[in-house]
Parts: sequence; structure tokens; C-alpha cells
Amino acid sequence: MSRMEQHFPSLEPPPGGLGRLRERLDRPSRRASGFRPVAAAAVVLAILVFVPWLLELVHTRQNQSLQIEELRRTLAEHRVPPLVIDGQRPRQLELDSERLEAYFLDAEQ
Amino acid sequence: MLSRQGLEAAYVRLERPLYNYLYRWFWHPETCCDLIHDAFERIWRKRADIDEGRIDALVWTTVINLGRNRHRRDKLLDWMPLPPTLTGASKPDQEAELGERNRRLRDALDRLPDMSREVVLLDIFCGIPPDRLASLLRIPAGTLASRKHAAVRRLKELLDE
Repeated sequence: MSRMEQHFPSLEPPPGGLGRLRERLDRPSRRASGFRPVAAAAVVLAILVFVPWLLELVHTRQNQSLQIEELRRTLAEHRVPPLVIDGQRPRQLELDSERLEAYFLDAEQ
Repeated sequence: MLSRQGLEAAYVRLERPLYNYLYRWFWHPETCCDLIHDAFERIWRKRADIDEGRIDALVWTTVINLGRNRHRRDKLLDWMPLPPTLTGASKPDQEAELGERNRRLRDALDRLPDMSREVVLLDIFCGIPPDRLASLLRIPAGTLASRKHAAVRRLKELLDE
């Protein structure tokens, strides 16, 4: 026996192991009856997470499409009419360095 | 196909080395017996696909894997801030039974990396030739030898401390 093996004396297992194994093997299988509890719990948990997520996603998409439709309608109905000054449409529009807008009715002005 | 006699014969043949191997991981007789029985029950459920001539290696592989899983679970429970009564870590009877010598051995084994500990214990208790043990652990024979050499040296150092 090597020096290392002296630290590991062989121990006797508790008696009756084979009898307990026989009893266990003769018992009807717990797994044959259907879903294992852990697997079933995992599936239920996944469904509980997935279904609200899916409903939320559908709701969000519906809201987005409604908002886009409303925005389109608002822009179409409340469009600003073309700028008219003294019955004439300005010929030129400039934005100068002081962020002022300038309108010209004639090129000479 | 594995017969009931074949399974029981394997149990009688392997119970003692399996128990000794697992005991140096968990230091608790009940845990070791449970793991051995779990392994044999799993094998029995798959008996239709099992070659009776290779049952020893299959039993060892199953026990090694179950032992690894259980050890990982125990480490996780140790790490979690749970009361010892809930994690099963509180075993005053077990501490009293261990004795000074085994406590020193347990502390030394606990300080070894899991792979090194596994190799040392399998080398002592498994009784399978090194080349077959290497294929059972799915590592090259040379890796097994070097891992065992390093592990034994480290364990000696820890025991001499």
C-alpha cells in the first residue's frame, strides 16, 4: 500500500444497501406516470412569461400603427396654407446669420 | 439487455468502491448511498439499451456525473446566504463521527481543484486500468497521468502542512 493510500482506508458501506435498491427498483416508476414536476413547473413558468410578453408586443404594435395613422391624418387636415403677402406669394425665402426669416415679393426689393 | 441479476451482481461488486469514492466527496453515508442508488436506478430504467458486459464502466460514469452535479449543487448552496438547516450543511453528528484524521483529509481534499480530487480518488478506489479510466473521463492517458502526479504531490503537501 502506497503512502497516499494509507490516508484512504477502505470503509464498509451501511448494511442493507442491496435490499433498499431492490425496494426502490420494484416501486412503480415516478417518471412513467407523466410530466416530472420540475419540467412541468418550467413549462408553466415559460408560458406565464411568454404570454404576457406576446400580448404586450401585440398591444404596442397596435398602438404604434394607431399613432402613425393619427399623425398622418393630423398632418393632412392641419396643413399650413402657402404663405401669401398682399395677395402675392413671396419669391424668395432666406434665413440669415441671426436666424431671421426674410421674404421678398420682388427680386429688386 | 441488462438483466436484474446482472444489475444486482454489479451492485454487490461495486457498492464498496463507489461508496468509498463518494464518501471522500461528501463525508456523509446517507448522501453516498442515495447517489449510488440513483445511479443504479437510472441504469435500470435504460436496461434495454445496456450491454451487460460494460456495466462497470457505465456505473462508474453515472456515479461520477451524479457526484459532480451534487457537488456543484452543494457548493452553490454553500455560497447562497441560506441558513445551514435549509442547505443541509448543518450536520453536527457527521462532524463528531469524522474524527481528527478524516477532518484533516477532508480539509486537504477540499483545497484541491475538483478535477485533481476526482483523479486521485478514482485512482485509489475505481480499480479500472489507467487507459480505460482515461477514456471513461474522456481525457488522454498522458493527461490523466500528469494530472494524477500533480494532484498527489499537492495533496501530500497539504497533508504535511
